[in-house]
Amino acid sequence: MTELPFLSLIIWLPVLGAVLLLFVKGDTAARWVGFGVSALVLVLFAVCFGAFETHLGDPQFVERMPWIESLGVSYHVGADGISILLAGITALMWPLALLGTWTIVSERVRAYQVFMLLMETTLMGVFFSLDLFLFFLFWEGMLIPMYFLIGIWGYENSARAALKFFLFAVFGSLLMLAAVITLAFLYHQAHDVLTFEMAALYQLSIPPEVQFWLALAFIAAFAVKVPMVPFHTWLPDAIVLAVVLVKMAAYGFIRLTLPLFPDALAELAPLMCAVAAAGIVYGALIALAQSDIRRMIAYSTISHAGFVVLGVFALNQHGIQGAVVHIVSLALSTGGLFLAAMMLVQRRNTWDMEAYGGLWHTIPVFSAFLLVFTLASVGLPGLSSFVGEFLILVGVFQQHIPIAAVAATGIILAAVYMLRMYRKVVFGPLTREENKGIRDLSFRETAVLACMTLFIIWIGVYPNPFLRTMEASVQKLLVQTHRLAETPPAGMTPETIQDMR
Amino acid sequence: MNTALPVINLYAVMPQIVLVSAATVVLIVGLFERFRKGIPYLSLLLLAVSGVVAVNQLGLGPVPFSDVSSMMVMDDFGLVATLVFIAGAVLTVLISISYAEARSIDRGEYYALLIYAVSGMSMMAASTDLFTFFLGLEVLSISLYVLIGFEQRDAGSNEGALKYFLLGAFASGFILYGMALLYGASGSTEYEAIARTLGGERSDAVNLLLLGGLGLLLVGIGFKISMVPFHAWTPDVYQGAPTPVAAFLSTGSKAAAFVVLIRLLGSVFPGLQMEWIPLISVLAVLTIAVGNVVALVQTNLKRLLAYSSIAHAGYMLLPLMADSQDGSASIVFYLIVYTAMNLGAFGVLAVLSARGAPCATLEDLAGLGSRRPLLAAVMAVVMFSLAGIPPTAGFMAKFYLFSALVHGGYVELAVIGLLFSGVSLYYYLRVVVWMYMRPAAETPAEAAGRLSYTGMTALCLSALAILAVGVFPSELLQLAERAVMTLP
Repeated sequence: MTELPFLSLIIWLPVLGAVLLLFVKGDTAARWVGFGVSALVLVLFAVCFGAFETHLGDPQFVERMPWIESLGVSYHVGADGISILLAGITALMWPLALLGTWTIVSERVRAYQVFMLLMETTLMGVFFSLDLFLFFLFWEGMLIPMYFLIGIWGYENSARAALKFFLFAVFGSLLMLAAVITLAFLYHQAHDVLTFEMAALYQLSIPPEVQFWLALAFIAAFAVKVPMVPFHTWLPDAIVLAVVLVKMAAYGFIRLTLPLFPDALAELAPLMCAVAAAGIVYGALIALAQSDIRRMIAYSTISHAGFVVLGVFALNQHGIQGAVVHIVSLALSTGGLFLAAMMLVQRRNTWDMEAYGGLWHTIPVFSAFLLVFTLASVGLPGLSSFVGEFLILVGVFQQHIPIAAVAATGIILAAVYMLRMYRKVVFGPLTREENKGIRDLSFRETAVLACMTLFIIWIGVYPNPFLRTMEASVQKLLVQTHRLAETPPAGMTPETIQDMR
Repeated sequence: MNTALPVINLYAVMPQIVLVSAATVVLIVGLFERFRKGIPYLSLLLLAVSGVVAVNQLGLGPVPFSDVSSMMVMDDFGLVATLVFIAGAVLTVLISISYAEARSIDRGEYYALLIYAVSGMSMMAASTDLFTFFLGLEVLSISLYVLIGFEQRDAGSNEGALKYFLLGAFASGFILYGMALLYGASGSTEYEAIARTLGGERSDAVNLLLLGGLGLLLVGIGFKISMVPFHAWTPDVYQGAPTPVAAFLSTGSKAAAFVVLIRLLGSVFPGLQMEWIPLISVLAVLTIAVGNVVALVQTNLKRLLAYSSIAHAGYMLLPLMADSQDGSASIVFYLIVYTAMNLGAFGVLAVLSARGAPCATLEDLAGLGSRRPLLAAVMAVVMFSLAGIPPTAGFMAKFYLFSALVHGGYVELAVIGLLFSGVSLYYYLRVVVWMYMRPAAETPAEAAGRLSYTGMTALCLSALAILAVGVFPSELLQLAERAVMTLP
């Protein structure tokens, strides 16, 4: 399709940037390198996206070469409609996040840029991997940059939070690793070929009771990171990366759990939906009780993550498309909310809502942006989250009406806690002396938030391009998940794998 | 009557001969005070020469040592093991130089004993007879007894040496007694003959002798690899020994014992699998559990690494049960990676405590990330690798090991092992937390000034190797697979 190995460039360019950073002196230079590299990735991605053919359900821009032959592992990357959207929002958010935290991160700037770039690589790797081993490698490798990002640049108690997060995540992943090995082993037993190709493993027919346990292992790995109740307790301490993780974990559900274990899902999907709905309400209720902005955003993320999982396990076109759109929109709205809050806290140094009030009079530009993000999180029609939540609920209503009803209350609760926060921070009389001299947003900050607002409105008003991009891929996924048709054309047989070697 | 002299093939034992000669040369040159500074470099050179000899023989085997009795064999398995030992010794010498100098233990004997130990290990790896195995084991052990106690003025070093000596002597006794029983059963000490006895019809009495012999051998070897319940010496000895020696002890001598274990269990005792598989699986799980759980509460770094090394020995025991080429290859691969990781970890401590107060506890690492960025980065790579997080070699090693185990049909054991390796993250990450996320103490324990160049070279090399193998493991995997191909 194209001559340039686009996906590899997108995946590995940040690593090159990170290596380059080791030789850069000075904080400002380091910031420029980090921003420049991630912007370059965005440009590359835009070119790639332009060439993407939306009517195809199969991976495109495929690159494949042998890597660890004795283990049957190959370097195999490609992008389908789902992964390209999620990679796209990553490519977009990265330069914005680096620009947004330009002065917020003032300690060990170079290391911060290095870890951010390394994380971008692992995220892109997760989205583009078509080999299960490669996927796991990126999935697990991501923990290292994350661990440092939480531990060094997190807020109070961050070292503890980082450790807690790491342990949670690793226990989940190790179960998944055992399942990955078992899957390859089962394939080896059936076809006498050792491979980790996802497309090949999809074709494997596994006895339902084995499927059940394997599916549980995969779900454990993803549920920790989504985070789903009851595996969410690390999140309030390590909110910084929550949005990123939701994206990853939901992608894991879509890419692996659904097509690999269709039989087990018959049993597990309703259960997952119920747990997700419970998580939506639980997260919302706790968010309602917070007066700390950061913790409130954290619990609202738990609630929103519930929506995503709910959409995925609705197992139909609406649900899954809704989930993907919701992930994209979460990155923008919750990401924006958090970034805006960080900008505010940089000025006033407190996360307590009660310490603010009356900001509308002193910093109107900031307050306007905060309003957009708040309303987007609430799910106001015309803004991005509405599309996602609506599609998810439509999808779930087709399957489980009571669960959908419970989940819908989450939207109402979201309106309550979000608007409450906004009222406390922005409206009301300007009582505190400290809030009077507060600076409004700089040009850089305005640009970052404006960019995110643009996308929020675009998705909210005209989501069609996004939905169309993934339509074919979601259909193909559902065919696999429900085993609707005989072997789909792109399926890999043991013979084709041998041929490719 | 004419007696034909046995044809002896010296070429088959060339690496061992070169190693013993090298050690002797170092010993003699070490007598001259004026060459004192040059001894470590001479040792490096001679180790490199023996490495070249071993590399040249790769792929030529198997060649038996003599035509009448096998005694020793030159095959890829023994040669790869020898190369790993030599690489370990080279790294040990590099991290020893400044450490030994600062503590005035930089005498010729120190380096000579190190090379003697390598020759013993190499002998163990190449042996196909219980006698040569025991010979190698004793050469190794006696060198280690002295090396551990080399800091004569340090009480800990003496205590460690005495403990290791007493328990080591017992272990040797067990092994000898086991050998006697096996000899009684089969009438020979050759591996092949014992395997033949096992393969044929055996009476109950013979069976009992064989079982007893194997059991006693396992006790002795279990001591060397610090398998639970024969592990109690490990933390004390590692803590007391000079740090580079502890590094060597935790990698080389353990690797040598594992190599013997692969040969014995894989090619001599498959006939008794019904008996030893349950035994080893229980002991392996216990070893993993005890190592990982006790490591959680350690604050002394050397003790922490000691328990971690116990846990790793447990992982490496697991694939023995898979009883496949894959299983053995995965142990060899793990041993190679483990050698690089553990030498790296102890090496950081050795380099840090070369001058000034020894870097002993987690607190001593506080703020290392900003004080010594390169050293801290090496330690972080090593810790992530020990924990098995990609993209490090430790992950690949664990992956290969556990997939061999699953392919052998032991899914439950793999899950248990993986979960405990999750537990291990806690203590490995604690090291990283202290280095990067805690402010430095007012006065750091270690002395200011430049770190030893040779030590840093060794550490950076092993960190780079860990990352390189983590991303491109193919070559090394093939080497490990080739090594076990020659095993019967």
